[in-house]
Amino acid sequence: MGIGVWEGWVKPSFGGEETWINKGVGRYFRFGTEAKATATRYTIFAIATFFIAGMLAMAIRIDLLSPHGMFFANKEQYNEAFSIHGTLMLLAVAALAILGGIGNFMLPPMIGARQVVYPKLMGISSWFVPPAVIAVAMSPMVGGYESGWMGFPPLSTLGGTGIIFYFMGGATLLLSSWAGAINFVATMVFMRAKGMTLSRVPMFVYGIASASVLLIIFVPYTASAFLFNLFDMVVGTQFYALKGGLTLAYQDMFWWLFHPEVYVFVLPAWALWLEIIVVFSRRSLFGRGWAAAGFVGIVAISGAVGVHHFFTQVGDVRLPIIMGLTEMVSVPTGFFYLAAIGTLWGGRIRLTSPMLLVLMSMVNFLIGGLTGVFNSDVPANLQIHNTFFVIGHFHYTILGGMLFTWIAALYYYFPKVTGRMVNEFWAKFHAWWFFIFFNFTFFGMYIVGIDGMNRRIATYLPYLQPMNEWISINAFLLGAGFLIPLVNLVYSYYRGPIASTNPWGGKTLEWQMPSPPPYENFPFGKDPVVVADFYNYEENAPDPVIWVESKQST
Amino acid sequence: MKRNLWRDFINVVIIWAILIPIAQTFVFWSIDHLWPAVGSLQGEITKDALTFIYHVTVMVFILVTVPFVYAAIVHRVPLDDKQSAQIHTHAFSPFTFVWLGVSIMINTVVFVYPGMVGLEQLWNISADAKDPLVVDVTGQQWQWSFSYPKQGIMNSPVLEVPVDQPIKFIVKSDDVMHSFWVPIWGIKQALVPGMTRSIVITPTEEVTTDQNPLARVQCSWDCGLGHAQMRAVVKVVSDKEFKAWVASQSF
Repeated sequence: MGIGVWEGWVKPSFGGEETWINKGVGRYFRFGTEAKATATRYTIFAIATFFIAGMLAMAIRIDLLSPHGMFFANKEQYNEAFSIHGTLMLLAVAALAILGGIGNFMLPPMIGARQVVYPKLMGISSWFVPPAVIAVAMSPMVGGYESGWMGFPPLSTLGGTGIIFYFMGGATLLLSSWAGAINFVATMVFMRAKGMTLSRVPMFVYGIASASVLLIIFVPYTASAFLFNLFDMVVGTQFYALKGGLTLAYQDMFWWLFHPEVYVFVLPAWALWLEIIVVFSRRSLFGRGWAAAGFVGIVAISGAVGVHHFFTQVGDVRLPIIMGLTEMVSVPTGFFYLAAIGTLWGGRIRLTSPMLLVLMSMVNFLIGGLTGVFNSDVPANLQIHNTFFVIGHFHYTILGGMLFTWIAALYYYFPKVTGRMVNEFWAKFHAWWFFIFFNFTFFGMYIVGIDGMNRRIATYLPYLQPMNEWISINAFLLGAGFLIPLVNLVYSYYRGPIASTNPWGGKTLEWQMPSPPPYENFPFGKDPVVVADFYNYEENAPDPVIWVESKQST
Repeated sequence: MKRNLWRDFINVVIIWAILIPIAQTFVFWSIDHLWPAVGSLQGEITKDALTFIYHVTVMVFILVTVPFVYAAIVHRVPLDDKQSAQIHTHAFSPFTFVWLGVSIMINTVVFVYPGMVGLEQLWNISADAKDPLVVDVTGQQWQWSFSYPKQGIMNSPVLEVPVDQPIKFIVKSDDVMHSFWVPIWGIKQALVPGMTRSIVITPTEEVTTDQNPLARVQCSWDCGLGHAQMRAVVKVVSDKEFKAWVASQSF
C-alpha cells in the first residue's frame, strides 16, 4: 500500500495517526491531499489520454483515405476505434482537463483559500481516471464495443462484451467529475477569503460553479442509465431490453446529462477567455453583469434542450418548444462575446500566445455555435442529423472552443505552476499551425456532410473520396502538430527562462502566490482580504487585495 | 496617445459593408454551384431552411468577428507595454442593448421562418397526402426490404417509386436503431425498435442510384458491423414505368 491508502484511510480508521506525503515527486503518484498535486495529476492524465485518443483519430482518418477502408483489418475494429475515441475524448479529456487540471489548481487561490474543503474526495477523484481510461482503451481485448461513445441499446447489449468496460469506465469517469464538482461547490461556499463577495469573485469561479451545478444535478441520470444497461447485460434485468424494455428511455437519460455536459466543457473555457482577455488588454472587464447572466442563463436553459437530439426519432408537437429553447441558448452565449468584444475594444492588447489562442478559440467557437443553428432547426436537422455535418459542429465547439482554451490556459498558468516561461515563438507557431489545420480539417467535414456522408461508416461511396482525402491529410498535419506543445512544455519545464511572480500582470489572487506556489498557496502569517474589484485596470486603481496578520489559531 | 474609437468603429462599419456583400455573393454562388442535388418536395423545404440559415450565420459571423479581429490588430501594443488602457467605459449601454436586441431578433426570425414555417409545411404535406402510395420499410442488421401492401409486392430489395406523387413510408425495425435516409430526398426518419413511425416524401425528379449516388437508401444510425454497407438501390421512375414494374413483380 505504498500509494497512501494505508497512511491516509486505513490507519486513521483504526485510530492510528493520519500521515500524508505531500512533498517531492512522490506526491504525484500517491493518494495525496494537495490540490495542486491533484491538479497536475489531472493535467498529465488529460494529456496522456488526449494522445491515446488522438492516435485513434489518426487511425480512423487513415482508414477513410480509401472508400473501402485501408487501415483496420475489419469494420468491427473501425467501429471500436471511433467508439473509444469519442468516449475517451469527451469523458476523460474534455470533461476533466479544464475542470480537474486548471480548476483544482487555480480555484482555491483565486478565492483566497489555502486548501479545498474535501481534499481526500478530490485526491481520490483523480485516481478514478486511470483505471477507467485503461478499461475503455483495453476494451477491444475483451470483445470491444461498436455502439459509439453513446452506447445506445439495443445495439450496445447485442454487440461486443467490451461494452461492459465502457459502462463501468464511463460511470467511473462520471463519478470522478461528480465528486470533483461537489468539492468545488463546497470550496466556493465555505473557503472564500474575507471580502470575496458575489460581485467580486473572478469569472473563472463563476465558470467552475455553473459547470459544477450542472454536473451535480445531471450526472446521476446518465450514470444510472449506464448502470441499468450494465445490469441488463450482467444480471439479466430488462430496463432497456429489445422486447418489453424502453429503448428510447436510455437515449433520454443519456442526453439528460450529455447535452448539459457540453456546457460543462465550455463554460469554464469561456470564463478563462474573460480572465485572459482582461489581463492582456489591460482594460476593465466590460459587461460583467451580462457575463454573469450568461452563466446563469445557460445553466437554466441547458437542462431542457437535450431532446433536440430526437428530431428524427420522435415527431410530435414538442418539436417547436425544443427548437425554440435550443436556439435561445445562443442569447446567453452571446453575452460572453459581448463581454469579450467590449473588453478588447480599445484595450492595449498584448498578443501573447495565451491571448492568441483565446482569440482563435473565439473564432472557432463562433463557427461551431453558428453551425449549431443548422442542427437546432428542425427541417434542416432532418437532413443533416447523423451526418458529418454534426461531427464538424461538435469538433468546432469542443476542440475549437474548449481545447484551444485549455492550451491557452496551460501556457498562461505555466509560469505560475513551474516558475518558468514557455517558449513564446514555438507556442505561437503551434497556435497558427493548430488554427489553420484545425479549420481545414473540420470545415471539410461540414461539406462532406452536406454532400451525403453519414457518420460512423467504415466504407463510403467513391464520389466522397476527394473530400475525405483532403480531411485526412489535414488531420495528419493537425495531429502531428501536437508534438510541438508537448516538447515545448517539457523542455520549458527544465530549461525555460525563470519567470517572475506575476509575468502577465494579472490582478486576481492566484498571481499573488509565489511561483511555484508552496503547499499552503500563500505564505504563512498573512491572509488576503478583498477590498476592490479584480478587473479594474484604470490608472491608479486601488489594489484589490490587502494582507492582514493571520489570527493565531492556538 | 488617445485613440479615437469612433473612427475605429467607422472603419469596422466600412469593413462590414465590404465583406458582407462579398460573402453573401459567395453564399449564393455556392448554393447554385456546389450544393448537392435535391429531388423531393420535402428536400426543397429542408434545403430552403439550410440556405436561409447559411445566409444568416455567414452574416452573423462577419458582424461578430470583424470587431475583435480589428481590435486585436489595430489596438495591439508591444509585449512589454505596462500602461493601462485609457478608455474605461465599464458598460457602454447602447452597444449592450443593440447586441441584446439583435441577438433576440435573429433568434426569433430563425425560429419563425425556417423553423416553424418549414415544420408546418412538412406537416401540411403529410396531412394533405390523400391516398398515398404506402411502402413498408423494414430495416434489419444489415439490409433494407421494401413491401408494397396494396400492390402485393413483398420484400423487394430495391426501392422503386413513381415520381411526383406522395409516398408514405411506414418504417419499422426488427432489431436495433436504424435510420431511413435517401440523401437526395433531403429528409430522414429514425427506425425505433418496437415502434412504428411514418414519413411522407414526394419525389420530384426521376433518378436512379446509377445516375446519382445521392439517390440511395442509406442507414444513418450506427447499427453495428455492416452499418456502412446498409444501403439499397433507389429508382424514381415515371408512373407508367412504375406500373410496369409492379406488374412484372406480381405473380
